[in-house]
Amino acid sequence: MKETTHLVGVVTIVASVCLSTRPAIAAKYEAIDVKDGGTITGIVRWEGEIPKRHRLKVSGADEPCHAKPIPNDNLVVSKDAKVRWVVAHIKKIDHGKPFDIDPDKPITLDQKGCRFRPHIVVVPKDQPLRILNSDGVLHNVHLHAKKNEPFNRSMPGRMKQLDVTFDYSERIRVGCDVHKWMSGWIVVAKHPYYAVTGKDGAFRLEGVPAGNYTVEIWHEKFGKQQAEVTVTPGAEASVEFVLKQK
Amino acid sequence: MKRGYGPLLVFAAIGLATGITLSQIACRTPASGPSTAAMNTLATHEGYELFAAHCAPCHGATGGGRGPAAIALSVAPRDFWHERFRYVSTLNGVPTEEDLIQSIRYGRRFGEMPANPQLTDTELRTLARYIREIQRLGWLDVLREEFAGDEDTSPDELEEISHIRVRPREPIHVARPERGFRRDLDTGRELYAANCASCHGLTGRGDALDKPLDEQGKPISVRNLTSGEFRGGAKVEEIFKRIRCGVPGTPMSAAVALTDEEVWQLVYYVRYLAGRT
Repeated sequence: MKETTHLVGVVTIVASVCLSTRPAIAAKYEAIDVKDGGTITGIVRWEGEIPKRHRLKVSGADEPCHAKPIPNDNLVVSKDAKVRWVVAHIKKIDHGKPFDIDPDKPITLDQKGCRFRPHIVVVPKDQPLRILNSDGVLHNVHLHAKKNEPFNRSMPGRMKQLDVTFDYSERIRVGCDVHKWMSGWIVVAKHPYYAVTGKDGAFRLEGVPAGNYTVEIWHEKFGKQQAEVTVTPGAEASVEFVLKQK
Repeated sequence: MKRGYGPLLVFAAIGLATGITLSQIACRTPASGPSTAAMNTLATHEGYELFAAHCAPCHGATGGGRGPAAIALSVAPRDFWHERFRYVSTLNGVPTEEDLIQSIRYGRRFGEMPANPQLTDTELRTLARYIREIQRLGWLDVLREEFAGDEDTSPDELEEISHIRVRPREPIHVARPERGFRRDLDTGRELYAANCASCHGLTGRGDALDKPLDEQGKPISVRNLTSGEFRGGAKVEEIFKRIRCGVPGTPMSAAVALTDEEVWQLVYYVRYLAGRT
């Protein structure tokens, strides 16, 4: 993991530190020019009564930061039974399109209104994730990583951004101990075929080489599900998942 | 190293002294304790017997923090399998060998960890390496459990990661403040309010966080800075490290955004809160 710190305002420090050696043994992903690729479209539906979206219980200092009610993001189901914040990815794919990385448009995770935005962010392995602090109050970015380095850094109000790069693909829970209702997820992707469902419960994986694949979804409360899908050149293959109250 | 009955006898003696039998000791092993494979690896380590003789009474035979003497302690012994080391001088939360040796040699004032002046430098080093190996194997067990059945993760990758996760970065350089540095309580107070008060409280009594938890999800208390109990050491250099490196496994985060001079102002302000100069 690499880390770069920027302090904007009172003082500016730029530090770049290599936190670990590169893994000698890791599953390889080979980027190729995908011609006649197909698309996997998916939808995650909810079965049963639509759950209410609760407001989070907040307390403590920094009231302006959490003056507005903060909705719970860990189960968001639309009125028409579509589930948001579900991560989908292709399992065991070893070649395909390259990562679409634009250094001028860094992937960001903001702390705004004492809430992580977005709730789930997907970042390619080796690309910096820019963690922002729009709140102007003290947060601590606490990453509960297992494969990557565990990480707990102060972000006082004057510190506007902190860049972190990850070595290994995994899902990392991110929290803030100062405002302990804050909860989000960083999904470190080892290939470009990852997506997160929006309000419509849908995801889309484009430019997939023709072949047979396993698509896996993950929801923080409901765990994983898998489905087999066949991709043919230039065509769309659709897949549907259903979540229901345990 | 060939293993004898020494460790067993030590346990038996402590068990008799405390009224705890060996079967009770066995029952104290946590349900999610180390795997058999991990224990077999440790049994061949040259630090095995030293650990059994000097550490196991409190930290347990497996290093899980549940030794027979643990029930008598006001501060629970560290569970080396699952908990991270708290007092480090690196920014990746991993102690250097010197950090570990210092903890073993001098103990932890205000904690229950005793000093061990009887141990030689070689024994201290061997113990430090043994404890780090426990931590690595503990991490490996967690990784194997977390990624069991994950076809995108190979066993070799997990083994490699376990080694990387217990490798310390270079320790931070703690230089005394430069000439011209002037302790200033107002500056210290201002920095404290912006960086520390959200958890330690404006008065330093450690009362600002609602039910704080450690990384294992266990209740933890935020240090009352007015008590003067600096478990990591009250020397200014040690307080500097706690602020700069944080306290791994707890909510106390690393203050990477501050300049050295700002950290020094905080060090002296924190000592002021404790009634020290």
